[in-house]
Amino acid sequence: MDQLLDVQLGLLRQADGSSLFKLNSTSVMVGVYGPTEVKPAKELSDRASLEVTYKPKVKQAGCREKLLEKNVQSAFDGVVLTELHPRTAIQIIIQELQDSGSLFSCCINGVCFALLDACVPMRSTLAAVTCVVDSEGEIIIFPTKRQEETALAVLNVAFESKEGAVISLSSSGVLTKSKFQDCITVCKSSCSKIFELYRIKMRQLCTKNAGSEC
Amino acid sequence: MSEVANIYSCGFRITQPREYQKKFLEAGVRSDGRKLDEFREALIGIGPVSTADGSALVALGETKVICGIKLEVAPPKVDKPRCGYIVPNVDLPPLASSDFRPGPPSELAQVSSQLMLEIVLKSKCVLLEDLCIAEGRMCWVLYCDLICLNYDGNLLDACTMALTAALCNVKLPKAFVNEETGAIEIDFKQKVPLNIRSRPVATTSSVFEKETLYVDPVREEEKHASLTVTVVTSNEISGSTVDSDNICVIHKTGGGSVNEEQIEQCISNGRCHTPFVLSLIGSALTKSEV
Repeated sequence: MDQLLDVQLGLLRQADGSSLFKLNSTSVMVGVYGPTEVKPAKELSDRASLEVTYKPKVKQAGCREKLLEKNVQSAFDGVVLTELHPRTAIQIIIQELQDSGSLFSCCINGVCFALLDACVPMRSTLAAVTCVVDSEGEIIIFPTKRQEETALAVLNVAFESKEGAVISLSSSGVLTKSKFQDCITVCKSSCSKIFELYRIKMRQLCTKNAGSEC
Repeated sequence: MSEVANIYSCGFRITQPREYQKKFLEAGVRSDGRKLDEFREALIGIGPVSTADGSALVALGETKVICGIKLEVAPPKVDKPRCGYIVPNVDLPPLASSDFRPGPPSELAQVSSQLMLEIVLKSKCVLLEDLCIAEGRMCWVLYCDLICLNYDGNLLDACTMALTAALCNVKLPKAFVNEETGAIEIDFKQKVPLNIRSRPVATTSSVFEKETLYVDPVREEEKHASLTVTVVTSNEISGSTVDSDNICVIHKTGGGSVNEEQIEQCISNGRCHTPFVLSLIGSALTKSEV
């Protein structure tokens, strides 16, 4: 598995936290504002409400983008300690810079980095993996756009770091039960690289901050 | 004595809804008396809307969804000249529940619409190539409108059932290219049933507080579930047999974490429930043809 993973934090000055996450050719820029003021309609009395907006590069956002937003929001609803900030909103804005496949995992990982940069309290980090089953039955991790379009099935999974449990799961395309289970196993073993990246980046960020405050 | 208990339980249900659900689920039953793995009674009616080209009405307990399909002709999309297209739209009017407000489609409606499109395309229920009339010039467009008339939880299962049944009811007028003039002619008097290659069936399971897994949640249970998993089986039709081993869409919503045994349980719930729903759709279709 030879994947190019790169992330830069704190590029957006106005946002509380931001990240530019690159996975092979796909890249997204994520900005996080929060906890901040919430509209009365979306206010939750015991928790912060997570508002995710995804902006595609071309065209206006439609139902497909809404599904992606819902998946991201569901995933982080379970991980962010929203009980600490009731009656507030945590706004997450994802801007697509380039979509060359594996967009879902790029978004989840990018959002997690941005939340860490914004110091939003979380239970654990999330690592998302996209895999496809191609026409020959082979499982390919982090596919390109072309591979996603010609694949029999596409599977997006996000794992949390504490117990390795599945936080987000969406698959589309015909799969047998055993193939599905194989995909989950392969995805689980691939996410260790992303968890490693979180540690490296956080270490860099903390040493950089300590240095600049001296 | 039972009247007093009834008043207390009603009060408890309103003031402490989560605790109310918890008491039942921890004892292994549901608040409406069902077991954890029991589904509500489902009823399907085919063809209730005579002005539509295909329609079905589904009642899953108190959740009622009507699906109407209208056919139109249109030029195909430029990048896919040999394909028609399907446009599902889920409408959640304020009529159905106090949770829905008037105005533009809510997030739940948009997400459900997108999921319906994925289910129809990924299960290969209708192949878009079957909707082509003349390559690059004209194709059929199926506008599928799913309207929820009453919302009591488990929207996806009801919508999938309604959409599958309505698609089985659609008849395409015969369309052909006149060899002499090259013009496209459509004969509305000769109708051919749409070629349905598979019948997707959705099964939704929810988990309460990490441990209790139950199927077919009602509205009250959905609000307090930590996560919900919908498994859709594709059920390809080949000859007279239906192959119900394959899953075509899995969608998890909600922030709770799910372990692999629970995912397996959800998949097996889906596979066990599928033959029942398929026979329900089959018998509804045979009744409508009589």
